[in-house]
Amino acid sequence: MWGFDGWSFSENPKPYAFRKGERVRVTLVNDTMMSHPIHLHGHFFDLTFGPAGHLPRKHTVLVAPGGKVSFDFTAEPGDWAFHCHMLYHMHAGMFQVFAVRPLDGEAVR
Amino acid sequence: MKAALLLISLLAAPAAAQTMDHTGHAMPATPPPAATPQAAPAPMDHEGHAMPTPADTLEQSPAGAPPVAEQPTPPPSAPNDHAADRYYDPAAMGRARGVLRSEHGGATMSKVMANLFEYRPQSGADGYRWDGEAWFGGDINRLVVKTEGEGASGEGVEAAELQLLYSRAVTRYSDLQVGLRQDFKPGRTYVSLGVETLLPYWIETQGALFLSDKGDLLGRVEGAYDLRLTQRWILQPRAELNFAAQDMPRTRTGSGLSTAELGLRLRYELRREFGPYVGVSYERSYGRTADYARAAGRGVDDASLVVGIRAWF
Repeated sequence: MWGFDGWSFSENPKPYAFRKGERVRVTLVNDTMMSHPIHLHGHFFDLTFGPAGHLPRKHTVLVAPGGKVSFDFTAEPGDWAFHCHMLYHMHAGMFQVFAVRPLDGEAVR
Repeated sequence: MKAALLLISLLAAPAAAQTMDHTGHAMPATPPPAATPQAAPAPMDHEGHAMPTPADTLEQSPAGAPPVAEQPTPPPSAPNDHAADRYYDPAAMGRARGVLRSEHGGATMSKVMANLFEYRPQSGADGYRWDGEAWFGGDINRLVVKTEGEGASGEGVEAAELQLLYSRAVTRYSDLQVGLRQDFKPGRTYVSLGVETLLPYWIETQGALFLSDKGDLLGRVEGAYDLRLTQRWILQPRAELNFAAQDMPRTRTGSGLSTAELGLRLRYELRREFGPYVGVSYERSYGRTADYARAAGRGVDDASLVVGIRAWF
């Protein structure tokens, strides 16, 4: 099976939830034998290595087999696709949603 | 079965928000319309932010990696609403999400593959051999058909078998396969219990036990590795060992290790799905199986050149 955290998207997992405007560190751990270029829609993120101010700013990061990558991003309101950009991996289930709330004009919950 | 699992851990923290300044974002002074419960002390409205130029970044950045929060902030609970419902018909979006889900992990797939399909020019009658499989199903449960056999031109098929298996992914890289194996020359039926595993570094292995309707027990272990010389040139070492728990004179098989085959095949993938190859194959009989072969006037070992096609769709 293919997915994030043990879930294929077809199994209807809960989206990853974030608060609007928060600065979040996301850590990706690849415990497969394949490389996965992980892509987040709607944002640019900063990889957390290198000196501050020189962090690579990207929307897709390749996570090597057995590798670990962290990035920081500032959450924008909305539902954003988050997936492996090898599309046959994505269509096999390696897809998720970053759900950032509150939406514009919406009260805090 | 291939497995993929990616873990994501989320660490959100007020202190981490400070890194925004270090990375040179220009922050609008306006606070967001509503403060979030655990929002950063200097909350930012990302929509209006200006991208920093490299020069900005250089000037404003102190050295060192950005700080990380000491205490991770737990993530908020997952929302039940959908952002797109604000702009499109919720019923239409609901249907679209259903399609999206089914197309991202819910598919039923199939594959038909000729792993070996080869010709063996030899002194005397040239030989041929095939080894293929087809499967149908999803990630976890599959129906698998395997076939292999060999023969010689002018002499017909010497050995052929067909397996019909139910395959279930029992661990991340292993499929357990149970079913029936039917041999045609000589005819015999077996119950089959096998495992296919992808070992680290992409070594494909499989092993199986076969119990015949005559009570004979056989075993088989296979392994292969695709060494990628280039994107298209692939050298494949391959080994197959056959075992038997008892002497089986009718099939000229002795107990213990009966036969082994070592192969080295170089293929060129014209397409991923279509790769002609050339190689060498060395087969040898051992123990009582070799005795049976000698008694039948056959050699116990045989090296041959092979020319074939590996293809799938």
